[in-house]
Amino acid sequence: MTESDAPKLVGKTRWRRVPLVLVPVYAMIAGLFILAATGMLAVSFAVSGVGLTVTADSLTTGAVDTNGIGLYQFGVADFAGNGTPVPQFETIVPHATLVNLCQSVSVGPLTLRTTAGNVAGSPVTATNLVVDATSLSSTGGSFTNINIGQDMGTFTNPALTMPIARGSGPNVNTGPVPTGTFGQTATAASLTGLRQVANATSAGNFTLPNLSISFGAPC
Amino acid sequence: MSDAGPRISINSVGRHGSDWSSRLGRLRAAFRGWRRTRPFWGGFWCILGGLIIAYGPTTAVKVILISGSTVWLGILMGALVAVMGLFLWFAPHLRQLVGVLAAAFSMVSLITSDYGGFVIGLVLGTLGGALGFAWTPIQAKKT
Repeated sequence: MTESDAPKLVGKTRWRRVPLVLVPVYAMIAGLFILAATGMLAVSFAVSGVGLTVTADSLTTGAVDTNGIGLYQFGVADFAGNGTPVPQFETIVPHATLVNLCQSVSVGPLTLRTTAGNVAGSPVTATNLVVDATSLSSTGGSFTNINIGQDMGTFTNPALTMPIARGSGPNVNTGPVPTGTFGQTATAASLTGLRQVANATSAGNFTLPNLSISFGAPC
Repeated sequence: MSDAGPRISINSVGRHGSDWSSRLGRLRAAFRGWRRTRPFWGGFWCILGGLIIAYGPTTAVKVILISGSTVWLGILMGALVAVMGLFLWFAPHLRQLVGVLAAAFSMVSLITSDYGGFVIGLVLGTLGGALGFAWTPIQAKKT
């Protein structure tokens, strides 16, 4: 049973040594948390399939990407483990600004609630925000230069051209978004009262001023 | 161990029952010996914490993975914390270095992996690393 070649010595935990590691590490974690909560440090976020709800008072697109586009929206099929396609409404925003963001994730019986950007003048920013949502609603929106019926296969945004995987199973499209995918684009957009039930979300650089993480009610 | 039958036979009285209970007793004693000769709980919490840290990004990879994104870093941090837990179990003489590394990787996961596996993985990984660091063999009691 004993694979170790170390001497077979019975040992015990010296409890007075535990704080030697825990205290400096938690001091540094507190430092990182403060940096994240003041928006100075960007965190990355990626999760899927755990009942994620995202709400925000407003989403505004920022600078356009190299295609000159500020917002992409299109239908896409994500694949569950058994290869069953699940229709998704995918939104890609190269540079997003979100006011009063609330994310809630259900982990077993617990609901973890994350809020940020709820103080005027310091909103949440995200680069290459990708949300695969099963439902999306907003109380109002304005789009600039909206182009409905755009062929999504003609763009070179990394999120569109290099999705390495969209699921597992025999039918999965691992290449770029196929030519002829129906979608819409806009150079700028502003949505208010946003509410998404997301199946997957990812953001490259997420700055979260006034970050608060707690267990509580869903958003 | 190789002739493991259905567990229900433990309940039967008689010669077979006592045979099984003594076998189980020996297994439990062997496991206790194995557990006491290494920072077992430190490794255990590291492995569990690492899996929790890697869980969120891994589910995302199944659905969406974009080149240039940092999702893989979250998985890497979780895997590193779990591997440090395995090191605590199978290379206990490295416990101080490995314990500190496990705590450090858990800390980095706060940035790379969904707030450190929704804080739970972060807490378990740092606790496991500290327990591994604090474990010491008792030189006098040689088994």
